[in-house]
Amino acid sequence: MQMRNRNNKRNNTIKKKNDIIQSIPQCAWEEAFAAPAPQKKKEFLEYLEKENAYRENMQRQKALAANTAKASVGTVSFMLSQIAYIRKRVYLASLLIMALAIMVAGQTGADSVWAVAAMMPFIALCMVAESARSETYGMVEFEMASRFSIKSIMLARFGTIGFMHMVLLCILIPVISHSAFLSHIQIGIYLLVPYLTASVLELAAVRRFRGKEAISVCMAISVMISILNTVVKELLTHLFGSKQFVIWLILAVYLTGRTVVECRKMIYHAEEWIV
Amino acid sequence: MELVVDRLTKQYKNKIAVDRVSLQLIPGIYGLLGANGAGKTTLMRMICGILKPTGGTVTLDRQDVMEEEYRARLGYLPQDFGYYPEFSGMDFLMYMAALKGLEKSYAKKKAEELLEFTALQDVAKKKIKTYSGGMKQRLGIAQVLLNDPDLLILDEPTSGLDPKERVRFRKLIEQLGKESIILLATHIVSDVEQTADKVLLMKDGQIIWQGEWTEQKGNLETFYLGQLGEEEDDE
Repeated sequence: MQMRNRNNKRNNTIKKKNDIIQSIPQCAWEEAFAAPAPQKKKEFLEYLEKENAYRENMQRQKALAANTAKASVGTVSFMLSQIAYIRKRVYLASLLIMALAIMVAGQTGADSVWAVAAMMPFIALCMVAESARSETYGMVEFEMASRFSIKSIMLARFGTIGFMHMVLLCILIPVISHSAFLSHIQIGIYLLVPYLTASVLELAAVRRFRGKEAISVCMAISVMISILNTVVKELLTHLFGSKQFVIWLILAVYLTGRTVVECRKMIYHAEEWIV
Repeated sequence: MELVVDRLTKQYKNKIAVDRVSLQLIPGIYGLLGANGAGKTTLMRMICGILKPTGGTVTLDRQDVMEEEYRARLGYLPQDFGYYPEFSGMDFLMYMAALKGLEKSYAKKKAEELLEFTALQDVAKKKIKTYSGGMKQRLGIAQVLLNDPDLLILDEPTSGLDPKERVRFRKLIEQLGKESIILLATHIVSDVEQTADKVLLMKDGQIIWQGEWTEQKGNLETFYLGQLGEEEDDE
């Protein structure tokens, strides 16, 4: 009963309010709630336009700067930057072997060329081991998926180390020629043949074997060629006469071609390293 | 931006690892689910230009996968990866930045930001061989982001991460997925369920199901196992 009375009272109050609201004329409503006249509308819109234009310009400049910064390294710069990433021990090992070769050349007299030739396979090992570093340490996938791919990296490695070895060879030849009674060309060829033989065999080995096993196989190849070189010189002396030099020249040219082929296979078949 | 994979195939001597897969991906997150040996990693490697396809093509905005410009827009995190033992965390990022063609000063700044982002700033100068598995994985994630890639290919990206790091990683992926195409292969169904806009199920080198996954459809893992089960029953 009380609830009903309360509801009735509430309904009556609501009805009275509605009656009051409806009695107010429309124009009175419009006057009471009319929006104020805009002030400085034109200036405000111009300010918004300027702000948007400024922000868009800044974003465009930022994107351009970012792209420029990101993409500013060219192929040549990249190849040169790879020189710094060749391990210091490769340079040191090559220099050390060369220094040893120079010492030996000074002390062994006429046989100096054969003593130094026995060390050349180990210099070749430095180049091959460094070239195969990506596979040895599991970096192949990263390097193959990047902008400058593994081909550029390996070209840079082969180029840098090969060039360094050629320079060291050019230093070694005149040193040896003082004691050995051979021409510069003969000395160069007798040193190049074991170097190139080791390069060809070791590059092929690196494509067949994986990881650190490949390095062990390459080391074994270097030791074998070094021993073979000495054995051949001791047992087959007649092969090292002036008349037989043509054979060595042809062999050197052939091995140079084979080395280039093996380098190309290594560069272009890096996919084989992916398990 | 669109990644178009058109009838991509990879055949080995007596096995077809990827069998005529076709996809069209726009910016967003795509979760690639499949059992071991389904062909996920082979597919991802072909999309990254690591493996040459036996047939088919991969293009990103009509740039072929073999072009340098394509790879400049790519970020790839492999399932298993190594490192050069003499590298520290910073050295590794600087090396990867050089491979991605980034200018040195920009690369240094970016590497520092990413090391901080992945909470590796305290160990940046330490050798990677001293890092834990989770730290190595975070370093791998950092290198993916160096070049602000438009296309991210992530193979098991959360493996080795603890739950807190996994959550951080998911949030990062959600943010990146707004503007980049992210293809994420994982065995962790919850990673895909919570982050992926679209799910791709792969089996025996083929995409057997693809579509959006919503809560209304139920449990993704159950559906995934069911799809594999149905295929086996059909066989």
